Amino acid sequence: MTATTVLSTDIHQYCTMFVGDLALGVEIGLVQEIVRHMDMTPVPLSPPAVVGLINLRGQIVTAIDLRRRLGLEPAPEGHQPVHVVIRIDGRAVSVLADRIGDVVTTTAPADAVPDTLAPEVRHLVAGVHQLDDRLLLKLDAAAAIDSARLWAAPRDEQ
Amino acid sequence: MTDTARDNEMDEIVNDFLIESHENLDQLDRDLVDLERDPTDGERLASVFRALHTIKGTSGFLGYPKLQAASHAAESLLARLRSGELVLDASITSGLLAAVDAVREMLAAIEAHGEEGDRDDSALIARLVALTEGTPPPESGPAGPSAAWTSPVTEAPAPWPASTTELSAAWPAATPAASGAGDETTPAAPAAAAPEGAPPEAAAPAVEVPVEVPVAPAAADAGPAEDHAEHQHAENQHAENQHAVRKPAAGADGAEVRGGVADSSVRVDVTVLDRLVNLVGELVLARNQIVQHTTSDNSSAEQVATAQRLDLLISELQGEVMKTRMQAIGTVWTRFPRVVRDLAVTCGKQVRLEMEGTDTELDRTILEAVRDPMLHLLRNSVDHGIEPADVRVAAGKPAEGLLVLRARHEAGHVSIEIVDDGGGIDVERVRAKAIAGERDPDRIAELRTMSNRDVVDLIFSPGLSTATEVTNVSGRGVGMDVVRTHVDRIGGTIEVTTAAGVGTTFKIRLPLTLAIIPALVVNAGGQRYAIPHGNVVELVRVDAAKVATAIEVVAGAQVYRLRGRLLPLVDLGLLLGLPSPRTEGGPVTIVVVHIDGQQFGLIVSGLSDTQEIVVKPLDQVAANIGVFSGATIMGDGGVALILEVNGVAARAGVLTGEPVDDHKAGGYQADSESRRSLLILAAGATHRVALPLDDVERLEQLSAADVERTTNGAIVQYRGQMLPLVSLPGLFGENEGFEGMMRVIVTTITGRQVGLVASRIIDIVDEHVQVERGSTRAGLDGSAIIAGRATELLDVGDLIAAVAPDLLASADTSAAGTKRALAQIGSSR
Repeated sequence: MTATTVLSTDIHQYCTMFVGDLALGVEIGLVQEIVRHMDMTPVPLSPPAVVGLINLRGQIVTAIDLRRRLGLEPAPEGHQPVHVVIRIDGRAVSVLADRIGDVVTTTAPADAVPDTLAPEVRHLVAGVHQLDDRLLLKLDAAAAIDSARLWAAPRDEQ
Repeated sequence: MTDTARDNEMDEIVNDFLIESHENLDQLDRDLVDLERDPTDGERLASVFRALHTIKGTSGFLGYPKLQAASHAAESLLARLRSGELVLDASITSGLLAAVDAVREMLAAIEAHGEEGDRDDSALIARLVALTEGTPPPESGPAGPSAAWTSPVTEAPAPWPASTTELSAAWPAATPAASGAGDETTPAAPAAAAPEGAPPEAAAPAVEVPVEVPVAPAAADAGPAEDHAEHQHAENQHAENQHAVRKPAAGADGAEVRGGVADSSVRVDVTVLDRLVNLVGELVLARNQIVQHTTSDNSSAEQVATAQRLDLLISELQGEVMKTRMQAIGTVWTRFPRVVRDLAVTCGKQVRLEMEGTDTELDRTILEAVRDPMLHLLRNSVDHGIEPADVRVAAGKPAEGLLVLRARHEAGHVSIEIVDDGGGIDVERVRAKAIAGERDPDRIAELRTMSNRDVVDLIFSPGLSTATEVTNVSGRGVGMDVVRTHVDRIGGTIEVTTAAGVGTTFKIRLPLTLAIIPALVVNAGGQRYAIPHGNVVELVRVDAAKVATAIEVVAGAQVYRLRGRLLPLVDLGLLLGLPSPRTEGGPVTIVVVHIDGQQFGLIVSGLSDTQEIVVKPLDQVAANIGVFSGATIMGDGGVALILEVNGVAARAGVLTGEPVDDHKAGGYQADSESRRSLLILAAGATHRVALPLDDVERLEQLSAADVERTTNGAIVQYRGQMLPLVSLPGLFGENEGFEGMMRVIVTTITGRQVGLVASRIIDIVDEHVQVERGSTRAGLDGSAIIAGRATELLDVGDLIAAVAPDLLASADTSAAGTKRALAQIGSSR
């Protein structure tokens, strides 16, 4: 998924979210909905990044902590993250973001991911858009919620 | 059959058959047309074949000989196409389409007045037979039929949508009877005003016209052949028209015009039902909150009344919505006894059908999907499985064959078994048949060496049938292929086990994803978990005072003595990496669960509730853990995980793979090979010994400092008794091992307790023990390989007699004391 050259010059629409000091964008078509924090049922024995299950109008959705996935510090005590429910190939998974930003439309092409990014971040970022005011990291949503990758992630990294 | 129809109360079997067949026919039309474009599309051909096979099979059961004859003829033709002996061309396509039309007409007639009608399909059948034999009748030109079929879509000036024409074409005979339904009569007017090219005959039966009209220009090119086909078609319609003329009388007779089958039931997409169920669940939660708020003092009486009404309505709504999904399997099975009976009569056999678990509820989509497979399997069992009475009697079996249908919820699945006591599947014949149908030499070599189990599995592959002759019932090898396709489609599995001369069992396992199951909700580690009722055997609460004595530790594993049997315990909290549900000095709650005939206990911190839960699938990340089979939403909107008892057992390693029998007798074996629960002990550095768990009274840890020496050997004071000790390492000439904390196995010999001192307790196993006889050492029964290691089998009585005969001699004198000791033990259980 890591691009080495300019990816495309099409119009991109991203739902932006903030995790730590990173601004991440998820392609708008992949976002099913955004739900404010709700109680989660922990899943024992699951990969550490799996923080729990939520009841999304009767559907059981697994929530994944993006901070952990990205190797960031845990959110400060008492902070209530937002569920960004991503749907890929019929599979709905929630990724937790600190807060949600605007929908950003850009024609700026996605640049390759700088090698200087931490490896945990680099593995989950598919490209970088240079917006006027900041850099937007395009989240590789499929990789972020991929079951095998979640299981493969070493515990100490998370 | 027709009597039921005459009762003006259409048999539900016929009803279902009609609904299904109409759908099949529509699909057939599409498939045939597509096939003509691409005759090499094997999958589509198989689909066509299955659809016709189903119609044929069912019509046979229901007693519609004409319908059966027509579909049989078409199926024979398709069989040759499938085997590659014929290649689909236009004439064959039109022949098949004509057959589909005929079937459709007959179905319409059956629906309208319960009979096929007195029709003559001999021309059609002759045509199909001629095509089957590869001598195409002169009337079918290559260009004509395809043009006739495809043109209406592209060129027809028909002013109504194609689907309407299809619909009306589907009900030609029914039209006059069902004149109340607007759609079906509307085509008449435009048809009458059909373009000038239409033959006059075709114009009369309005309903067919849309299909026929555009033929005219094509026919001009195709010449006489096309005309002929046209003519024949027109003839058919003519006959049918006469048929229709008679019908209004029948319709007028009836007090009410019966609505079409399609009107009485609506097919709803399951995803819609899923959404409904979910939404109602949400509604219930919102209702709970409203009810909670309105009961407080600040609400007006009106608000309270409204809330109560809302409460009531939503409960009712919830009930109804849930009902839309669930159905007892018995509702489908009700028709099976009749089917089996008729079939048995046809085959000249005696068959009794028994059904177990008819109230097992299944999600209706699943139920619907397995109905045909079950029917197929039943049909197969009667036709192939169960032998004729004389053969059975000769084989020493009762003349009447037994067919058992069994359904139950099982470990997160629904299992349906179809068991016959027939002759079993001839594995070698399946192998031979498979090899005969194979050209690839590699594959043939593979088949030759394939295991019997895999060979039997081949009966599910397309085109393989072991029947020596093709009958109306089965034998074309299409059935099992369909069965597997259907079961696969809903995520189920099907297995077959067979034993020559004994019978065959088909076991279908279906996912429970959609089912509602009763479950026990327990608490552990601060969370709620649901355990399917099917896995729960009993609940045990051990009083705080008795915990210390009732729950023992063997080789680091906790066991509980449940009515004389040691029950392995799993601490649910610890297993899940959560805090243990056990509190120091508190009582312990044990849920005894079983899986595959084995039992173990789950220690939980509390029992919440027993309730019906809706099983929801887990995302793959959570499903991969293997301990949870799904999740459910609790009354408060929270999520609870459903424990997969099998997975829990596997993770905890409590089960050794073999069922525990409730054996009470001592000793290792009844026959030369038997399965026993054995306690495996280390005796010294190298020796392993085993003794039957049934001989074990209690496991103790006693301090060597308490060992006293008497003239009769070592003893300890134990529960107010002298407990003689026998060292197991000492048996093998090693150090007695009376040091530190000793592992002591308390056993009772002729009413007298004896303590066996072991170096270590290794494990409890359930194993087939193959005893190698001939141990020369006293006190040993022999040796066996247990858990991969050579292990000596202790004979406790023999051992004591050999090592400390005076213990046994003194047993009588202390009998009274022993009784007291036993009483103490009994009270602590």
